[in-house]
Amino acid sequence: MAVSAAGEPDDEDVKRCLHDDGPIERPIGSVEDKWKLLPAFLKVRGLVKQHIDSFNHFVNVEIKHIIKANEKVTCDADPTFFLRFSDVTVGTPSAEEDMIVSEIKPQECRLRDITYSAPIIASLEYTRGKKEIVRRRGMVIGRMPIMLRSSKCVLHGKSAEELARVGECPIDPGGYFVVRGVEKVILIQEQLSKNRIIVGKDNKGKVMASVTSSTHERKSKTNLVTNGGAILLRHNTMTEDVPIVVVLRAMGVESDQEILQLIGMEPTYVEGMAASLREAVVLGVTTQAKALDFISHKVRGFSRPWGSSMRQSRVDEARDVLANVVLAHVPVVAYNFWPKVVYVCQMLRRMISAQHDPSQIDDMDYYGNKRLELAGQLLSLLFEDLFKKLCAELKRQADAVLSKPTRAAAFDIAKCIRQDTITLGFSHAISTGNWSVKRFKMERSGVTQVLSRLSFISALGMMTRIMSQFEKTRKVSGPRSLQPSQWGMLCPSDTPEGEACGLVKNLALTTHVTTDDDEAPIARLAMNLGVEDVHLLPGLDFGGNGRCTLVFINGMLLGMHRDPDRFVRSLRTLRRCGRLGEFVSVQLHPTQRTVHIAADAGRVCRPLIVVEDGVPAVTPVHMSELAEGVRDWQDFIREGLIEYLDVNEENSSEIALYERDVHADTTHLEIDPLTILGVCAGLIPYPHHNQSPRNTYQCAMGKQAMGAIACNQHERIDTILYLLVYPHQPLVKSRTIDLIGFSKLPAGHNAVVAVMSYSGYDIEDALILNRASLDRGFGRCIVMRKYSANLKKYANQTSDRIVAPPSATGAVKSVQLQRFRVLDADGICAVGERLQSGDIFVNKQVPVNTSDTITNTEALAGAGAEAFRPSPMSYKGPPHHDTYIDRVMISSNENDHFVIKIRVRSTRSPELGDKFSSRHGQKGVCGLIVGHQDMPFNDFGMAPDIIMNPHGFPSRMTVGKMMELLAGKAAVLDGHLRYGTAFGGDKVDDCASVLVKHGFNYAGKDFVTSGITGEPLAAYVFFGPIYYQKLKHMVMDKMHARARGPRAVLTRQPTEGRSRDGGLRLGEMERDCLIGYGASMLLNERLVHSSDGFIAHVCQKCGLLCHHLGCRNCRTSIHTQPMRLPYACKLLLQELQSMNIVPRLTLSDT
Amino acid sequence: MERGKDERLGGEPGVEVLHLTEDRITFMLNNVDISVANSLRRVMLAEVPTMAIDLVEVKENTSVLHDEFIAHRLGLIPLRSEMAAQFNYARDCTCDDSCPRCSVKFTLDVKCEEAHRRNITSKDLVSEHPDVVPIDADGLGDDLGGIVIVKMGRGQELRIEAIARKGIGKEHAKFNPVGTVAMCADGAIDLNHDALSTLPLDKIYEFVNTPTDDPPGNCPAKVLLYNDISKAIQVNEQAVDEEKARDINFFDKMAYFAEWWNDFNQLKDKTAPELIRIRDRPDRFIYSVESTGVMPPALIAKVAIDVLREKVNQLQREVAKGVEDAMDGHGYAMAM
Repeated sequence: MAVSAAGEPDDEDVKRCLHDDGPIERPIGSVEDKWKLLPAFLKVRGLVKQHIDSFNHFVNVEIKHIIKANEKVTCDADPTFFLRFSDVTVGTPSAEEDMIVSEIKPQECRLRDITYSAPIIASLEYTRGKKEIVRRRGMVIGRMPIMLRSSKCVLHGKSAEELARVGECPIDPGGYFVVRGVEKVILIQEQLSKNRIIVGKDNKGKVMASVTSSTHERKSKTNLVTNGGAILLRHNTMTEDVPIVVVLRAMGVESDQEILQLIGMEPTYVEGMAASLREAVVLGVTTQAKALDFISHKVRGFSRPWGSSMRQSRVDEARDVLANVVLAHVPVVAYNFWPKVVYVCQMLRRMISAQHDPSQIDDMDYYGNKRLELAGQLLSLLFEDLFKKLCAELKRQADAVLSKPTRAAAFDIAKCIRQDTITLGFSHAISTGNWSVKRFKMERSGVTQVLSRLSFISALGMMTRIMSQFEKTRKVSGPRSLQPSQWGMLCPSDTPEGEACGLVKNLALTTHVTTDDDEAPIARLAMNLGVEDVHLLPGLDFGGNGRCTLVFINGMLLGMHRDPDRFVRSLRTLRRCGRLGEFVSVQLHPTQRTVHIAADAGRVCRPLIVVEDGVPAVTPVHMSELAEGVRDWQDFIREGLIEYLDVNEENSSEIALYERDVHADTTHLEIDPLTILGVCAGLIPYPHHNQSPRNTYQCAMGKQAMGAIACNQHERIDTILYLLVYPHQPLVKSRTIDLIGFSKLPAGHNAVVAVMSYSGYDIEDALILNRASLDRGFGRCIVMRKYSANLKKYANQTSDRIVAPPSATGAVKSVQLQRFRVLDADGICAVGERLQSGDIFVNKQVPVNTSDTITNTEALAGAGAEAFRPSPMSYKGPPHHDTYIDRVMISSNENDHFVIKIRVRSTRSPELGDKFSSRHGQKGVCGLIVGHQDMPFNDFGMAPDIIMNPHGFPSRMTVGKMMELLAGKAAVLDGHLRYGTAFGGDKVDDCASVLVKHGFNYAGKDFVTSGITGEPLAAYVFFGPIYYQKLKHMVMDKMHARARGPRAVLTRQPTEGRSRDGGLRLGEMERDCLIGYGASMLLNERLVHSSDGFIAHVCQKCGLLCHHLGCRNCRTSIHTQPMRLPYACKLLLQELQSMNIVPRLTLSDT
Repeated sequence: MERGKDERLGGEPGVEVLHLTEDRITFMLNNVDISVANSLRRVMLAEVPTMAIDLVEVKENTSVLHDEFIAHRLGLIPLRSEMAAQFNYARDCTCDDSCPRCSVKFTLDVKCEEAHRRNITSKDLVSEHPDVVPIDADGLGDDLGGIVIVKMGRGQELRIEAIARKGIGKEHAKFNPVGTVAMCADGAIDLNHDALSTLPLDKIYEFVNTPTDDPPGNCPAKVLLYNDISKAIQVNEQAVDEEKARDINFFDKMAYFAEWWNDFNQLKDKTAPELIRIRDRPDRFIYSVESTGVMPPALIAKVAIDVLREKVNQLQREVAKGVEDAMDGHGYAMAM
């Protein structure tokens, strides 16, 4: 396995982690120290290895398979013509500009709005002219977006210094793409596993079995359903359900006895099949020919894969359907249906036994039945489709050209290869997130998302996110609830609230997702270990009384084994020796009497320490070798001390949590319990002492916390960037914080908190802040915002332009020039200038005529003021707030358009209403800012930064927060950071004794004096440091009020929304209150006078709206009356009239 | 209470300095009400005028930190402010913008030529005024000494002109001359000699002579003495004073001690009398004032009292003026 240096704790970190508990000579009771495997693990794996592995597998292995499967393009017009793709590789990321190919770096792509992609280079063989066969290498057939830190990425294998040199953050995990300058993540998609028999219940409560077959060519779903005791096959290609016995007969099993032998000779199975067997007899289907004929009448005309244009008889077609479409993943070679027959019978057996024993029904939510689809798999689906499209295009062109009799030059198909098909297909799919794969009729949207760079944690959290395929609207609890089999694989805390609750999940810290492993060698190995080939076995062996254990590989029946225990044991031994892929899982299912070998992609797995004979394989000696650096994670795997278990194998293992729990039957030992949490929940100190939803709230809020987002944050030009001026690393850390690098890119402050009531401005979770702390930089943040201007080029040779600001000549008034204040002579704003609302920062002009070709060169040259109209970009921001131009970038993008990016910056200090939160789901807004002199102070004259109301505690039960305060106080007093790691961490007793040693109360309570009166408070106050996060929600971005302002054109009502300076709506409920109260005049004022009041004239005679000088309908002016009504009402009346409905108003005096 | 003195009237206010170092003063305020005591504390925190950088003009900044960031850091650098009284507040000054009477100019002009990197500290700040300079922060922070403003890489440059002005802590915390001001009421130790005499001798020795470092069952310091001859326990007043000066929370700790022994005495008999009681002296207050280094701690206290006095004077003038105005309008009202 390649060891990448990127995105994981560097050597020094790991060493510190390994060494921080004193000298390594100390005897290691491995119970305490085995967590030290985690830094070693994460050093090898990084945090987003699942994405990178998947992508690597795709670009290095899978892409070659895809090309091989679709290698040949032929032509109908000329049978001698062919084009063959012999090999394909993905090159290094580069960009081609003005015919010059140069290497590109991700940071350049982000800034310049281009795609970080590499050429897909193919070798071809094709005929040119009649006889000539041309071989070409290095043909670029398209460009593939490259995942950052993958094996094809320029960042691969670079050290921290080298990364810094190319403008990249060493802590950034990678695993995303840069497409048109936007960082995009392909989220992990959760699906029900393919090619596995799943026994469930249909909506009538009857037992059914279903298999979703998935091969390269097709996907299909096969169901076995019960109808009045008989079992039927249901499939999309059939117009009707077909009795299963008919299907079996059609596959060549004609005798009832053989069917029963295949399923099982026990009375239950015989009875279970009775109705089905009878039905076949009633239908008169007794032979294969009759059965095929029967089925041929049910088969829908299906479109054959193109290429086979041969006409077939209906019976042949039916046979083809059975061979290739029904249960497509079971291969039928030369119409030998035997493996498929055995497979169908196994499905029947499972179904019948589930009919008698409900516990045999599979749990759909069981995580062993789930597969995670990652970037590599999704891209390979897309690539195969795009490649097929490319081939089809080439074929069409070949057909078109070669069908014509005369040609000037020999037809060279290599010249017809358009890179755009693949290039644009990829970049379009990734940038929109719409995945449409034609051959599977797959239409998925929202597959990709923009990587959230709000904070380091939000970016990291996004990389571990799992999206479920379930609809969010469905009110089902099953898929949303926490499944026991998710233990250790998925974070139990990190899920959003609301509609996506439980459907969006996150990986736990050590979870890995497998990639495809070649199954042929495994199958060969299994055969060598005594598996008897399914082709060679008679039916009786599968269903007979002395039934042996069946061996499945990736859901496909391989054969049978007579000593499954030994077989499983030897497979596992081979895996531990490294003779088998480390992610191959072997599971013995005792009740089904099957052995499942899984080597497919998308299984979640995690590492565990192997225990043999009640003794953990990892010993203190190994640990000290690790600490000395003579042993790394791979050595542990290679020597079989640690192995990966997937959910299924985990389910048949006995895993001890702590070493003290190990007994004779134990097979594995946990590395550390903290690994059940993910990266977001890992930030919480003492999470095991909190009420569980609080941890979930923190997982959501940690993503909104401001801080440092990356080491290259000042080089980035993001749409919006929130940075904290003085971020602290937390006093109370956790192991996870060290491992993921949060202490280097922190988001928050260690605030001294007094838990007490103050002034009444702290009710409902409001916080009181100390003004002196704010003056000194507490909660101070930098908000950077991007404004960009694109200089477009138009079809008629014109393009946008930037012109210098007008100079102060007679015609231009100096007041007008005010808006051009910040501009340099080049028409772009100058760095360091202060911006005010209305200032122009790019003085852009757009050509008036962009469609007609300007032939007259004079017009082009002398394009004066009339040819262009001004389209300046002006700044709009809150008044009385300093905003400065931070950086101006001028570059060009892929389409050769000029891109001007302007980053503006403003610094904000906390104000009333800004939102803060501790790491325990306890959010609150600032309710009052109090001067230092008014703050309460303790024995040392120390005033707190924050006063928090104690009512926040009883109902929330965030004991972890109190423990954080104690541990933090101890940390401050003796100068050592504390750990609040989940299921571990420093003990409260130890912290309390440190407090006592330094003359403090053991419970963290201080004697506090009121700053206002100088009198001591009547109670001791819980006083100490707690890590507080400043959240992105700030009053400045939200506050809005208006007295008068813009109105909508059509209705003349006030506009809506803050961005349009809109009015505040008096809605239905408010209206109801006023009606109920009887304040009719107020209502009239709000709804008419202050909104869209309008004087309309009404003709009393005809009751229609009219001109104020007279009614044109009645041709009189004596009946006109002015009337005040909402303009929207007047509009309605007129619109009704335009539809030939006459709304007549009847006026009367009041 | 001394004879002939009425407790309600109290005595003359007085100050007794218990302890004085370069950056900290501990003193006792006698015969004042808590409101006066607290106002002194509040003035020291919020209204003692000091100098601090208030206006920064960035000429060139190629460092990694933003202009505002550096300006904020400059503002927080403590400047020697003994001379603050000689300056005008910028808002009161007769000049238009700034003048030597109300402001001090600072310049910072550094370019990093070193191969690796260089710390820009308060020592790089050049002041126009000989006395208004950044405090001597040797021994603090980095090896160079001085307060670090920004770290620079090779070729980076910082050119700044800054103006320091006079201000008070209420305006911005950078004008606050003190780190902390702790204040608490003085206490007194009352011994119940009758109850103590009933204790067995070994307990008495334990009461008096226990080690000093481990509260709460132990006396925080040797402030209690047992006189073998008179068979009585006495309070060593001198030791109490020393302890107060050392730790103004001494009586807090004594309170723990007292609670422990009283609980011990009442273990068997709930009605048993208390052995020792720690009493607040609400007319005496101990202060511990830690200076940030901008001026000597004693000066802070002195200036604070000046500020307080000026406030009272102002009030006096206002009252007089108010009375005068009232007399003018409604002469009869005063006659009544």
